[in-house]
Amino acid sequence: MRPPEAVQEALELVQRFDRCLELGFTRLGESERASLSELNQAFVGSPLEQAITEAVEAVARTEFLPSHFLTLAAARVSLMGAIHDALWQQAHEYLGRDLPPDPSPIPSQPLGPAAGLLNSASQWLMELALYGFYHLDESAVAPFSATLEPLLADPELVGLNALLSGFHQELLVHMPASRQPSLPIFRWADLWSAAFVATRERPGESTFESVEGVFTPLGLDSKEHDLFVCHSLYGVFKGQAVRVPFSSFKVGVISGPETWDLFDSEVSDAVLSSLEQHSRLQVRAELRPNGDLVLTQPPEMAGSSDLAELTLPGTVRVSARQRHPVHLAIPLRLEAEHEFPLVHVDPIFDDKARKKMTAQLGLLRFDAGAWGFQPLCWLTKKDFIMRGEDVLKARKKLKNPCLDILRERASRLLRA
Amino acid sequence: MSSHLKSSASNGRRTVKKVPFVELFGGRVQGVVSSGSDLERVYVSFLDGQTRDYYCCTNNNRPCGGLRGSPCKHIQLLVSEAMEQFGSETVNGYLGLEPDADPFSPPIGGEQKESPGIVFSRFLSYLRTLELETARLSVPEMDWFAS
Repeated sequence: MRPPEAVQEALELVQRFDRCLELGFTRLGESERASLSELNQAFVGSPLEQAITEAVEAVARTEFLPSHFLTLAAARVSLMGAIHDALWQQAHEYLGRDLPPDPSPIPSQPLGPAAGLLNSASQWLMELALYGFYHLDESAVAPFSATLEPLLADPELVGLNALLSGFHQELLVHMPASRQPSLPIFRWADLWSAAFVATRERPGESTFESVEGVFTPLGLDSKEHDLFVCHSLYGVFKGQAVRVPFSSFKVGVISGPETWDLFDSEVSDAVLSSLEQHSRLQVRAELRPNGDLVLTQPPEMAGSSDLAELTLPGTVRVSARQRHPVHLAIPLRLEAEHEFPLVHVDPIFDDKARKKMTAQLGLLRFDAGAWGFQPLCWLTKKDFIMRGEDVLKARKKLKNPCLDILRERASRLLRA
Repeated sequence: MSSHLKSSASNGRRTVKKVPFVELFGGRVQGVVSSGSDLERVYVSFLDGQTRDYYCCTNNNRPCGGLRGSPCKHIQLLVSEAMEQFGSETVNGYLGLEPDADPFSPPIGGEQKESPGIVFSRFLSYLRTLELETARLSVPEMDWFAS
């Protein structure tokens, strides 16, 4: 399945815009100015047309205000949103599934006391765009810690904070940028634009439904950077594809299997045991419109899982605001041989496992202009292998748990 | 035009008993080394990449007795733990050395007396990160940090 032609064209337009971010808005040449005009053209007849025209004209006059860069960030986010929507539609046509109804957007809240810090964050993001990613060095990036630290203390801004802390840390590791053999410009432009837009709102709380019943795990998807971890346990609940989320701040020394120390031990043990034992879980949880199944108490084992006949229902959809191809995670069952390149392949899916695999369950993903398939579970003749089923074993081998030692330090030093 | 990072070397696991905190920052390997005897006392040390200068003192600014014209045991331990965590090539690269160099081979710099305040305060920030409230929901922004 090749993406629609229009998606390819839109991605190229985005890449040309990204050149401005790479070089810096204080250093734009003819070709970069042309790409800004092109961006402007793309939005003619859309609600953002006026704002983008003003922003592009202002930047041409070297009038650099955060509001103009917010507009340019919003333009890039909108383009990626349109690309997401086209891909979302293509995937559903390919799978012969109806498009699920769009979740209604959750109204955002006033910025509140964090407004000052959020303005500082917008200011810093604008400065990055002025310097240009290629020209960044530690002195442009490091001082942002002074804004980031107090911002992290606001739990309602967790999405922005996870993004900013990861982006900030990643930039630091690449400094000075000009000395790197290559820079992940498209990715940094993704992070930059998503962060910029997020500095202008405080997300509202979504509704939820209190539920209980049997959850059938499909496999664990884990994402982390030095300062944050988010595990998503994908599975099926009452005929719906859902994610059980585990998110937390952390520090660099705590990684992989050890990150489960950050969560309630009864819950972690139950979840990781169910993966190891291939069992289902009896859960009490909050089911949210975006597909989050948030556990409200430790789950219990509920008999062995039989995935052989499982058909994967529908799609797990992120919120109305999160429309970027990076968020696409469409549950899919495929035969052993299929057309999609495998992506984010966990080491548990090795050559040995491949030989026994008869079918696979996983997520349809999109990156770098192409569809890919992330395996969550490989079925064999009589059994299956699930991503995350080896975590409990890995945890038993851990010696000298970092978290206990660091918390002991914190209790003596932070409250001395 | 990938939204993902080609996986760079991930952090190696190490025990944080002796060196609770080490970072590559401001051109230095810097951090905090446990005293061994007193849980409330730590040594704050650094090795500078550019000047090859170094220093070590307690968090109350008392110079480390082990500094006798060369980097003390604390500084050596700090650098070795940095290599465990970030990889020796990364650490040497950051210090401006060849990938397989020994950071303590000549030419080493001299003692550079500095207040431990900034590094110690960065250590406290780091400890505070572990006390930040946990989100109960998915954080879709983390989709950019998949492995």
